[in-house]
Amino acid sequence: MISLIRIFCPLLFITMISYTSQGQGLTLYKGISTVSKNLSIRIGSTPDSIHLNRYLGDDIGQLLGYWEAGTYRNGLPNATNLMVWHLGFDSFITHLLTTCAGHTLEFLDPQYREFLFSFCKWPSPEVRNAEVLEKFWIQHMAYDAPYSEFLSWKALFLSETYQTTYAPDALRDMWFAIFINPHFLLKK
Amino acid sequence: MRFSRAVCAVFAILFTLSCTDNKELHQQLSKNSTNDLTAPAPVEPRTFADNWEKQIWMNKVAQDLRYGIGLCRRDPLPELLKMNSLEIVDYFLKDPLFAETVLDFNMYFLGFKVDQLRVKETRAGFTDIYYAPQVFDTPSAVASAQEILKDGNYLKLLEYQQPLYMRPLWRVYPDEKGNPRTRQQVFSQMDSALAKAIQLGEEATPDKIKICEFADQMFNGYYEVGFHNLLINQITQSENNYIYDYFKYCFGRNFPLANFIDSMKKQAALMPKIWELIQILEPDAYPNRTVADIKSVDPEILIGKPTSMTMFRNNFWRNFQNSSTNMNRKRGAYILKQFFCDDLTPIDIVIPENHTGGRHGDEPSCYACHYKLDPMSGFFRYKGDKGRSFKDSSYILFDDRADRDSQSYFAHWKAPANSGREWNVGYVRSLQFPENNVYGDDLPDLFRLIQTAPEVKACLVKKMFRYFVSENQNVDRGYLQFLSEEFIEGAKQNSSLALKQTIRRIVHSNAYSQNDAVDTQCYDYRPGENPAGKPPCKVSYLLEKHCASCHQGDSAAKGLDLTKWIKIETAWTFPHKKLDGTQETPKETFRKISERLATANQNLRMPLKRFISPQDQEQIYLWIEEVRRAQ
Repeated sequence: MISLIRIFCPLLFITMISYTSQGQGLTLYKGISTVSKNLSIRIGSTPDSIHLNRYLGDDIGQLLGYWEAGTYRNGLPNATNLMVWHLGFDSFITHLLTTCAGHTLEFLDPQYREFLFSFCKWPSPEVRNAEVLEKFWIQHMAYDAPYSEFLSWKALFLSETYQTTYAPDALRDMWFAIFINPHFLLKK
Repeated sequence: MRFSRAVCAVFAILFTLSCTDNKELHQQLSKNSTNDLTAPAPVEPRTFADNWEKQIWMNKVAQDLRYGIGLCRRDPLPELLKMNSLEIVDYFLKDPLFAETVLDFNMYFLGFKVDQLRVKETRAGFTDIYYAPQVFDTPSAVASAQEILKDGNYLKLLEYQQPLYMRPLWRVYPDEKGNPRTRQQVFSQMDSALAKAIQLGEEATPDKIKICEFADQMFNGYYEVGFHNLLINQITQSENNYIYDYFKYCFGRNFPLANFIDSMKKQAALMPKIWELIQILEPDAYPNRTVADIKSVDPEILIGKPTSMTMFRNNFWRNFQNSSTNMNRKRGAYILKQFFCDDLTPIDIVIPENHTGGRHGDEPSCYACHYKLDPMSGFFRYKGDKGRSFKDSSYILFDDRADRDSQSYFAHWKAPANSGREWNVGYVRSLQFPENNVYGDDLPDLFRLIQTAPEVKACLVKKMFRYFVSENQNVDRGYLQFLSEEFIEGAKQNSSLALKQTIRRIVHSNAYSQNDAVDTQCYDYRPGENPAGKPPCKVSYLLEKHCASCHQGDSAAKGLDLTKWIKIETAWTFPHKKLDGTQETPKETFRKISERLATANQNLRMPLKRFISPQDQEQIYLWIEEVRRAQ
């Protein structure tokens, strides 16, 4: 099955570009360090346990926004660096998905590991319900995005499209839809 | 429905978000903070549509005030949800992690912000997390952040003399083959290399190559022990020391061996004291978890004489090198940009007709910057290669290794004979109104000026707004002025509390809580200000401040009212009546304003025979030009 989110990607990119083109269009990426730190705080075992650079390489990570000598560099979203984000998240998600194959990922918070493992049962009603999806959303996005963003995301994964989707595919799409969300990636 | 959503969210966040839960450290550091967070002027608490919206705001405040750590398990979320927004901000301001935010902001203010304040380093199998080297190279940022923890003098940020902070040292020292050595082994090697170099130097026919080989081993030892930060500062702060003489003897031509031997002997005498210092910086004895942990050491131990360290360290001298022809302009531009928020935008509106004299800096397009850049650069004129002082030397050596006779070099900044001052060194606000300028001689004078100039504190507040809201967000100058005035007033009593009050205001601003802010729009105005019908916020306050006394209302000079903003067909403009009482075209109105702002004729230039700061003048002029381009 072609993952739905891959079809959505161009749309998400357009959303992000239009998000950044408000006013003078200077909304920038938070940068790979900040995004890694946010993920570490939210799902990691320690506040610095997740380094997205690991999935890209240090030099590539610099294409996604970083501070150097008082100047913020490479933070402006464009088609190329969005693809780099996509590649980084793709590898990261693949790594996370090994949980469903029984691997224990030490860099993840133990409670989160357990929570994640329960999602391997998707589309079981045990996890495919509004309450658990809200928990999943907050776990990753925290309160970076307005409620309307959550509602759209939830509606998608409670829709028929994901009624019978194989768990790793559903999880991959759920993560992508959060990680590529402008509220997750961009400074405000 | 909303209630259940809120309850659900509370549980979700309680059970899911995780963060470092170092309660002991939190309590210990909170105890040190004697925060009296009473606001000198009331800030209105925010209202929220529902708990979700409140949590979005709380999470953002938490992230901003705790250096990226949003709401997490250790936060008492149900209690926080019951608090009003002011209490919430105060809760996060009391968190010891707030000092990390202050440190990060200070580095941003000084133009040395790094991607991460702390970095993980692995060496021969040992992994430690240290503050980034740049942090130790920005001592005023550290000193000021440490003051915040005890509600002390935050404005140490603007002081010239600063402590010497040292990072913990390495745990192990691999040799060339990667085999681990103890620190004591490295140190003993340094000791014996130095002794050998002295011995070779005192031989009847000294072999320079061999002497330098051993002197080099001693030099490299500094790097190995992890003292390179101090090593570089030793070069910049002291004229007669081992490191500098090593360079002069081994890489120069005419430096007498006897002087180098003397330096080496002095250095040998210092070694036991250095070893004592090393024990203090032992990583096991020196945890490096928070800003409060960062230790300073007495530089005298390493330099061998009473030494005061300044705020400028290796990162500054390396980034702002000076050549024999640059005349310290990079350094002057740095001070204007970082401390005065003056980007030196070259606009030709300050050029007096009688000041052009044939040099590059006197050409009209260049003079627009040089009139203030050159006097500012003059504060650095005694500083040569790597920031070393050549004040009392007959020559000055530059970073490009060129040298010049010092007196003729310094003479570039000599003031005219009838000026009443020796040097044309200072902060020049205006050429027309020199009584507004402040002159001095050297860097301590510059920092006395920086500590008192209102422009610097206004710049600090402006950068605070940019740091917490957005770098590109438009902001009403009147609102910034209001924030600055409150900060300046508050700082007279306690600068830490004043900083917290400014932050409290900023996180309560409308701009801060916008989910999808339009960066060209202003969201906040000074209390009592109604922007309706006024010119765009970018200049409205400035026009009112500098122009409204003549250009306001029905009797506005030349029929031009600069306090109102009207739409003529499709274009926005000022009410501007021609002699016949009809409205002037927008194009013509802006052309005339631009002309009167830029003319060199002092009888025509606006504001007429009145002082305007370069920053305000620049902002108005650039905006006018922006409007003209869009027409």
